[in-house]
Amino acid sequence: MNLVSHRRRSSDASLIPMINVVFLLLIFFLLAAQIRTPDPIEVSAPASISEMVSDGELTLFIGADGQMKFGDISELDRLEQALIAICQEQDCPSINVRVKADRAADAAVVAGLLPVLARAGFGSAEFVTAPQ
Amino acid sequence: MIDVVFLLLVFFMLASRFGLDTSVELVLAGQGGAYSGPPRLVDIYPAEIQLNGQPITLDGLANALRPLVEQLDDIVVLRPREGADFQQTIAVVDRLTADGYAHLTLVE
Repeated sequence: MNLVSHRRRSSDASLIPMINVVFLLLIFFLLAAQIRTPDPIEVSAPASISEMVSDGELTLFIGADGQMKFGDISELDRLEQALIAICQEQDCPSINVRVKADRAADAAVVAGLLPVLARAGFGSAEFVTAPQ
Repeated sequence: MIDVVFLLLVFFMLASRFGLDTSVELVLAGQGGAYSGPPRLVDIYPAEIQLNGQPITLDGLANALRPLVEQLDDIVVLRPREGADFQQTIAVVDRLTADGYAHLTLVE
């Protein structure tokens, strides 16, 4: 006679393992993940065998069409001013500046932006790549 | 509550990123110490690679560079030409790095 209530109770009980798994996944993602800051422009980094981990605050983005973006700056003269301002406050030769250029970008355009970094005082640049 | 937990789970799955970016490091022209020795200029064209103006294969590049350097720390200059995409440049960087050349620079 209490067939209905019995069935409901058993379906509640069958949810518990799933809830356990979901909680486990939630905790895993909470602990293991870093929140991704979205790139200002869509860039697919070139594939490379390099295993050097890239880590840095300053990133210069270069899109597939050669469009450059550094923070909210997208003009070359303002980029140079911004970099020089950074280098007056900090010791630029010891800072890593990251260049995240699209794999399809014209490499001559990428190379053309590097003298700006060099003039501001940076000694080397890290080019962000993707594992193959 | 289960709904909320599911929502959080989906949010973290979409918003999270695993692993760190990898990178290759290149010296900026004019900042990496003095250049010495014979010219070591690798031109990267869309369809071919040239070492000091002579066409060469990617596989032959490291061996051809060997007599031009005193040590593997010597700077090798890469110059991508019109139309060569960045992936090709990184492929050359990868090959030279794998062969031990530690100081590569990119010029226009």
